[in-house]
Amino acid sequence: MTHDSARREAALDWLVRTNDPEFEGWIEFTAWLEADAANAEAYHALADSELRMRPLIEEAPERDLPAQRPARRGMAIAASVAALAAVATAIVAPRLMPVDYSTGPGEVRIVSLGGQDQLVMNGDTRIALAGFDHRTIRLEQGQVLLRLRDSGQDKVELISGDLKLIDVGTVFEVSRDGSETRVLVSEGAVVADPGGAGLKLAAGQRLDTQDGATLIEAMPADVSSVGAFERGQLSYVDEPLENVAADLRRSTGIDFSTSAAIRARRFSGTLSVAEVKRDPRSLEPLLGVSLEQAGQGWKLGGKV
Amino acid sequence: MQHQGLQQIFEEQREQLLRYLRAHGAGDTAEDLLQELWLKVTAAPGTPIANPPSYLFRAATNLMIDRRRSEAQARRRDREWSDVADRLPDSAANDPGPERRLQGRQALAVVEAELGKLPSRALSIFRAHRIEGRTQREIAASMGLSASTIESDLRMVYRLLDELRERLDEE
Repeated sequence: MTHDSARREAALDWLVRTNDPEFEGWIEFTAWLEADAANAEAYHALADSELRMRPLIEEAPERDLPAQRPARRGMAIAASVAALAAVATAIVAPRLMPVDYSTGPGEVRIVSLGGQDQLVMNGDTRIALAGFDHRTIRLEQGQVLLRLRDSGQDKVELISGDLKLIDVGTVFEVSRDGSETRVLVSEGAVVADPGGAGLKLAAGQRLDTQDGATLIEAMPADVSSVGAFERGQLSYVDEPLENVAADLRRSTGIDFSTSAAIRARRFSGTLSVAEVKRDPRSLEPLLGVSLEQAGQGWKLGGKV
Repeated sequence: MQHQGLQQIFEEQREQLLRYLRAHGAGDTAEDLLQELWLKVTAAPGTPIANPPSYLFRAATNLMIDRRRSEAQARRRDREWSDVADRLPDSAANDPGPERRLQGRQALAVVEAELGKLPSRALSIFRAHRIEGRTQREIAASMGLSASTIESDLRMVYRLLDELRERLDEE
């Protein structure tokens, strides 16, 4: 038996003993812990496993457990295995099976990732949460803001197309349009492509890339817009497009103008500022007008 | 028990509790943790405490389990971080290689297979002990088993849960 496995066996013994409500050998236990810092390490690793995995057993339906029926042990064991399989499906499956979320255009949705960790979805976004405890986020389309502040939680992994990101305790925003991904980090840091390039994105940096890209590069960025969509929504009921364009100019900083032909047309609905800012052409289907580049800005006009 | 009585025992056990917290790796934070422990103990509803010293050590144990858990999780993050930060741009280690992650369904199969290994008696003992909170002596008496049988069944479950956790973490 190796040194480490002997230690693990001893730690198992101590866990069994100390978990008993009648345990009183605290002085003796202290002495064992003091003998080597690795002893506490081994003890806590086991205690942690028990704590995390106990729900698998805890949630098993009591009636299927055979304690009171020793005479029918064979059947009872079969029943207990079946009960555990059922419980694995009921308890573990929800923690492993992907969950899909989507938002309509202009809709902002907050998804809790447990603890203080939050994911905010911008409009027209589709994600799937996967992995154990749903700490893997697949961004299918759209834009998300991640606010990961809970140091007590496991890391979060975000996958956009062929790009993988892992957080280092941070606030960042990821957008996916078609096969293009944009990452903006406003606090902490993110590691892009951890199994490959291992590119560090620090606060104030961005990454623009595309599925199949062989090179990824961090660029400086204005990160004041990170998460702006969470606050920035413009809602209208029967508003002239001229006014909508003016509002968009103010809130996006992009020079939107209108042609005389459509100026008086009216719009009802909700616009997400960040969405428009990122992709002015996303206005076309929403407003029902075409967009043309005009100098530094965009002209709304004509027909679609 | 009144706080007054508990406080006296807390003071009597102070040095031993500090030593206990340090043995669990509390280091320089042992004094602060002892203070936190006292606040937690006094905030708990005043149910009768059969064995106050043991009660304090139990609370200290739970405190250290919580503490070390969050530290371990923070470390896991840092490790991921330095793994990639230390890597040279042209290193062969940068080759992503084949996708080896277990998919959700495979992980579920692992859970089912592992839990299926547990004998029903061990499972019943574990439930009575860790979920219903019965003592090992009570369980031994009600099931007509020896203390060492109870202990070895509990070991089996703890070991299996640890192996299961390791495999799911790999995933």
